[in-house]
Amino acid sequence: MSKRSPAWIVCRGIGILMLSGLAGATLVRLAPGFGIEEQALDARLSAQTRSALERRHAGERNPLVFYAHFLAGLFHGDAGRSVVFGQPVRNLIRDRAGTTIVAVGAGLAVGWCAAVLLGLAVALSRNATATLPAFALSGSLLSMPSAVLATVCLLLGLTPAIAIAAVVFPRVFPHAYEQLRTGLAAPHVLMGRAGGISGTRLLIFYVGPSILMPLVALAGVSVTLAFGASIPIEALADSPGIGQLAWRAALGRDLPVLVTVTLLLTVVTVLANTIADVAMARAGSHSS
Amino acid sequence: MKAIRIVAVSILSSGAVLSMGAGLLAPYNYAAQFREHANEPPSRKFLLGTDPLGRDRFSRLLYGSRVSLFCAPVAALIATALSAGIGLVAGYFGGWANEFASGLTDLFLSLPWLFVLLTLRALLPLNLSPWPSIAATFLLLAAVGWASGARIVSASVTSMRTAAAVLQARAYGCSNGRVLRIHILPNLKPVLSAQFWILVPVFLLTEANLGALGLGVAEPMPSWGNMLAELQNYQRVAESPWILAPALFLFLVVASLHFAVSGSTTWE
Amino acid sequence: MGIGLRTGVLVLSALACASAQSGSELRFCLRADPKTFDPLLAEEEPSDAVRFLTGGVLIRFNRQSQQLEPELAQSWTVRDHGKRIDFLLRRNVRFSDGTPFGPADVVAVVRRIMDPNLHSGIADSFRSTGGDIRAELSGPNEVSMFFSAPVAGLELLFDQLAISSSRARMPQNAVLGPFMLTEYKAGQYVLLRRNPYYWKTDSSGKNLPYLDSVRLDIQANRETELLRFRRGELQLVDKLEPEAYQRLHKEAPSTVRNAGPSLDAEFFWFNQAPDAPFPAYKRGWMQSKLFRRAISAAVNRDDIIRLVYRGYARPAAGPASPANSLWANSKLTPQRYDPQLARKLLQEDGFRLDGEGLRDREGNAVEFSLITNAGSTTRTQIGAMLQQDLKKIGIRLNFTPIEFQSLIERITRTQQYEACLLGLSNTEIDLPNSQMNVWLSSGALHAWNPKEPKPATSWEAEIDRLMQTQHTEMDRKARKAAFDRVQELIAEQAPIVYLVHPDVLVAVSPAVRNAAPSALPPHLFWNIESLWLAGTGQRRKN
Repeated sequence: MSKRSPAWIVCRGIGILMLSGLAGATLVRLAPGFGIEEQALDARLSAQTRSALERRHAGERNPLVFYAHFLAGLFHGDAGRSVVFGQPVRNLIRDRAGTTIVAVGAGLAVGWCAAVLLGLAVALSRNATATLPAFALSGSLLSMPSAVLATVCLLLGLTPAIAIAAVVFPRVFPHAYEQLRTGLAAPHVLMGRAGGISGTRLLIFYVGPSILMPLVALAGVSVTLAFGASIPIEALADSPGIGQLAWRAALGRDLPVLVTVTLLLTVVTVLANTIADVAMARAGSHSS
Repeated sequence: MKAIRIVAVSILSSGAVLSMGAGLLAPYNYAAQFREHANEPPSRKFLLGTDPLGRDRFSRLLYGSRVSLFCAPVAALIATALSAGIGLVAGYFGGWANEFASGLTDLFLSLPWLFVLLTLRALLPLNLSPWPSIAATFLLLAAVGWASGARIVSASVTSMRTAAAVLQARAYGCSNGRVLRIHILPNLKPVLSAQFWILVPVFLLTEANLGALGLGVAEPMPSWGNMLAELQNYQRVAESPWILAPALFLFLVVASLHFAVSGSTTWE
Repeated sequence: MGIGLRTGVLVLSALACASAQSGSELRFCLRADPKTFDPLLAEEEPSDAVRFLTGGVLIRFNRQSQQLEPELAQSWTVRDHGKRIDFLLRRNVRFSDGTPFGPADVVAVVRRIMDPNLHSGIADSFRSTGGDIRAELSGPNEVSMFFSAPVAGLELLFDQLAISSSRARMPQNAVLGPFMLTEYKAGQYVLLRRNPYYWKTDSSGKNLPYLDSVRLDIQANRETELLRFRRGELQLVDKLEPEAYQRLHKEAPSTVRNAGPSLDAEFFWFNQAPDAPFPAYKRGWMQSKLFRRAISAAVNRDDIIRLVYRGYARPAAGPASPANSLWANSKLTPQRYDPQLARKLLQEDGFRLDGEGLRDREGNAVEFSLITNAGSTTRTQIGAMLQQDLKKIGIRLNFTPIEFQSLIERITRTQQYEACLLGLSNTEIDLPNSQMNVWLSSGALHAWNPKEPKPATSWEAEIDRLMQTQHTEMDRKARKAAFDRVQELIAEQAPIVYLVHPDVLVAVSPAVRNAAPSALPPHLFWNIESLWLAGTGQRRKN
């Protein structure tokens, strides 16, 4: 099995998935406050009820055993039952996935377009002072807590996707700008410009290939970043997506939900990065 | 450009001096509560007004800069260095090194590190003075924050590996170490500086978000992050715009950092 | 004159009822998703809200008059020294699915309570006597319940016991309350529609409730909730933050109400557990009455009220808030801020000032940590103020907010803490019975030293005796006297240092009619069937 064959890619992906689920379950299990329910502070509860509450988590105490049962259930489409929400995890994910996918997708699209277009404009201007407002914008967005971004979007009646875009943009823009600036200053590009090649042709056929790989790698990473950003933004904007689900599950140590969300995030990460790797490999083989 | 860089470095140096000299320059101790003067606007006595407990905002801003101007950049530096190291090895050597690094990166990007931070808090004694707790939090952020940068570095190095200069150096018999040090690392400066520049405010704000979970800087010690948490209350911002001061200072520092560390345009 | 006044009031209320426009939807927020719609398992606030709105109970405690009122039970009689209660049920009452309500349904609910696999606070409240509860049909519309031991305050328990149909597959499918569950979208809202078979009518004979539906939006963000209230998207906001209350009061004074002190309390306590993992010399401080009272005297409650609560709170003297007229001990007064007294008590206890720091007899610097739940602005501010107050008497307080689950683990299981700042959200009127686990030394929530095998001190033994007395004493005055004495002992010994009782601050849209915010929860919708929205332009045909 060669390292780039589809079979290898699938096996590698599954391996990472299994490992991340187990690691996630272990991290949650070992963190303080596991197996504790807020109900424990109810003064009315008898000693028997308190013991019953503790026993509720007995099946989750050994992360290996829990994970084995969890995977067995997952193969039958059963991701367990949420402790915090009292519903099947499968239903929770199904009801919320659409909201997050739309918000993250839109956020990534808007963030990337803005970052690349602004990076290109500033790089092409070749004027040092032109970088000032661009980096001022990027810097100010980086300096804003995601809670504030979410609140501003709420006040302006904007969707959480804009807040996600506001998180993605300043993380993509500096890389996009640096790559474009370096690419435009490369010797072969300067020679092409001196030789009278048009700007568009230079950009697509000369600059593009040299900056493609890091930007594609960044694209893969930004997908995970956007999903990660959706957690506090959805929680603050009360948007009923997976991010909000993950946040509440984290506060309540809801192991079935957290492991499921970890696996989903791993799938997204591995998929995005694998697509990026394959694209980079193809770009590399074409250029050679 | 040189003038901008000079201004940026001056701003950063002034910030460093102000934060180191906070003990001398701040008119009051950051914890001192003037309870009869709570929520006051800026005045001669309180340059940036007071907070809901009557603490001088200007003094807290100065003392808070110690956490924000030192811990966040140091953590960002460590994370960037880790990204550079792992990305360099993965991108240059490729093969199993690359497979391992990219798998590790995917894992690090997916895991719920929040629980590691909670475990860290549980392990630290409750009577610990604030600085070890802050240092531990930022070190942990650095230890998990390298993953996104590593992939970009690895991709950049992979594309540089087949560049003419590198091929020539290898043809001349340069060792891998020399090639990495002399021909590849300097050309990673734009990527690494961009990554560093992004991570500084990210870590600073992450510290503030972690305050909602009991991590990060504890009362009464201020940080720009926990002062920025007030901005969520948009009505308070409208009524008391001076509470935006930490955001403004953070923005100045972040912008200055960019112009101070941004690389040259020459190909080495 | 008296007759004329009464007639006038009746006419006015009839007119008000006649003009009450039926229809439209009332909207307010829940802070989280309800975990369950099963009324017997409702523990946390969101589930409790749905239970109150949909559940029919035998006896209702009127939140305004603080009197018991007949609901599904037309009348009741307590017999056999509190070991038996007979109910005469209303006739011709139907569940929301049209099926008739009868004594068999009450018997079925009681059987469910006695199921050992049912783990809930409501069930445990009934089972607190330790023995079985038996329910029997004693007539076509009569049911009797038998308890193995006398239960003081028995009738009050029924305010939380929603009766569900013995025939329905799920309890929420057939309810007896004013509203019934129609739709639930996780993370978004819970929609309740009026129960077409609801038995109550107003004084003019009109069927209640007036509202067509109630929509409970799930919103954790307080800022968003306020924004939506200002925009008119929500009609009720419960538990306003003091700052938000002040602001709304300036903008639209008619929309905010202060319903007076709540049943809640903010307090902190010292960990006196013998196996707590901190040095023995510190435990010596915590276990000293003089030390605890000194700390209490060093706390400036007035400043906490002024700065943290913006004046919307009262200093607390003990567990019973002044809002709880049944149980508050009027003889107790809150500890005044008195740092001189604090220093004097510490000196008596062998502490001495060494420069700016306090040291104990053995020369140890007096320093301890105070934990609380992270993410609470109120408690963070209180903690910062306590740091400054204690600094004035030479004590270094390390204030450490920690994540809530971790905090619960420390205070209920591992005992890895020195002092804890927390609040009590009290929903129960029968304070002593609902807090047996707190005041009994063997209780799991006996904050300062949980699950003691036997009382560690004579005053805890005395509290144990008094709590058991009030638990089985049928005479209300005797119960009150016992619990008054408990409160006095707590004030003397200060195992818990009470700080404040926050006020109930709410916002009510001017469109809502008949709103009468209560200090007792549920503050805003305790009289949901009587609420209506003006300007809806829709009159329901009866």
